Parts: sequence; structure tokens; C-alpha cells
Amino acid sequence: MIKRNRLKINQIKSILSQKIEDIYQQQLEHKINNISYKLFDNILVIILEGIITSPEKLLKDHDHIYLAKQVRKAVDNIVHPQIKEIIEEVLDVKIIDFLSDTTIKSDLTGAIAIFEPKPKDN
Amino acid sequence: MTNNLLTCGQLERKLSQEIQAFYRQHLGHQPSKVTCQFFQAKLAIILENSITSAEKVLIDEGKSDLAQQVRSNLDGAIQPELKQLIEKVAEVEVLDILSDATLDTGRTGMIVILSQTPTVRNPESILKVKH
Repeated sequence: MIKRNRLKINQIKSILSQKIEDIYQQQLEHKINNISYKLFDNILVIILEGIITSPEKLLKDHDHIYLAKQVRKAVDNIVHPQIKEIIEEVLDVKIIDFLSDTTIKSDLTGAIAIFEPKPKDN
Repeated sequence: MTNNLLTCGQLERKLSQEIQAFYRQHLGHQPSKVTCQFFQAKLAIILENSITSAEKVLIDEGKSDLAQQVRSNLDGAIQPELKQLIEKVAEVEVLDILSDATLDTGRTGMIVILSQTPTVRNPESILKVKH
């Protein structure tokens, strides 16, 4: 039973990663280095590593960090709602809160998705 | 020596209590609940009811953009001291803090990037992925 659940969770993680990577690849022509997950209670934490695109890196390296941050904010505003939708679709949950932020310094995005508890969880 | 170490759960609870007190002391408002969860060299923090009365007044007056700006600036202002607090309690260096808040729900979420996993009595609980 535990083995089957783990298999299911690994499949879900794999589907989630593929769909998130596709967003970055198709819309930004950018390959993410790594995606990791932590699931506890009705909360999913996602860490995306290596999300900064080449133009943003170029801006940062040429002392235009403020502009790079502005670009990232705009990109996140487009991409993050899509990630939220993907989580809802793949995990079949309703997200009641989606908190996300990106750090250019560490080149990663972190998101915390809080789900509505399913009736069977009550 | 090992017996003096906190378990992962004890360290998470200690951090939650200290962060709750930190918010009360710095913003005059105590979040109703603070959840801390270590995973690998990261710490997720979720604060419930983290919005101050002043921000609520701004929202009620239809000034949500200003409230969002206030929240963003408050988070930025307290971050250096929050970083110190986490470093002191967890005894690890904080490399970066990612933070976001939703004014509608009053929830704040943070992901703290650590230099390494904290030393606890049961390190396997931090390294393994709980499902």
C-alpha cells in the first residue's frame, strides 16, 4: 500500500515537473535546472532552481539589477498563475492561497500552495 | 551531547514561537499561527493572520495597492532581524529569504534558504521527503 502510494506520488511529481518545465521552455525558451517538492498537511512547497533567463542574467551582470527585478516580477506575474492552475489540475485540489517569490541572487523561485482540505481529510 | 540536541519537531516549534513573538514585538501584531517546516537545507514558514490593523483599514478603504506596498516594505524592513533570529535559533547561516503575502487571506509564506541542514537529534526527518 505504502509502495503504491509512493509510486503514485512520484508519478504526480513527474507530471508536475514536466508541465512546469514546459511552461518555461515554451514561453521563455529556458530550461529549469531542478524542481523539488515538499508536501505536508494540506500544503505543497515547490522550489524551482535555475529560473533566471539569459537576458535577466545579462542585465544583472551589467549593473541593471533593478531592471532585472522588474522583468522577473512581470514574468512571475504571467508564469505563477499557470503553475497554480497546473497544481490544481494534477493534484485535483482547490488552492486557497498561492504564495510565491523569486530571488535573482540565488536564482530560484519558491512557492507555497495551500489547498482546501478535501471532505475525506476532515 | 546528542541528547542535548533538539529534535526537528522541537526546533520547528521553538522557531514558530520565537517568530510569533518577533512579529508581536516589531509590528505590534501577533499572527494567530506560525508553522515552520524544515526540508533539506530549507525552511518553510507560514504565518496565519499576519496582516496588521493599519493594513486592514487601508484595504477596507479601497486602498489595496497601498496596503500591498506597505506589506512589501514591512517585510523588507524586518527581514534582516528575522534572518538573525533564524540563524540564532537554528544555528545555521541564512543565505536568502523568499517572501510573499496575501492580504485577502492574511497569510504570509516564506521559504528560507539555509547554508546547510540544522543539526538535530533526528536529522533523517529533515532529509527524507515526508508524504
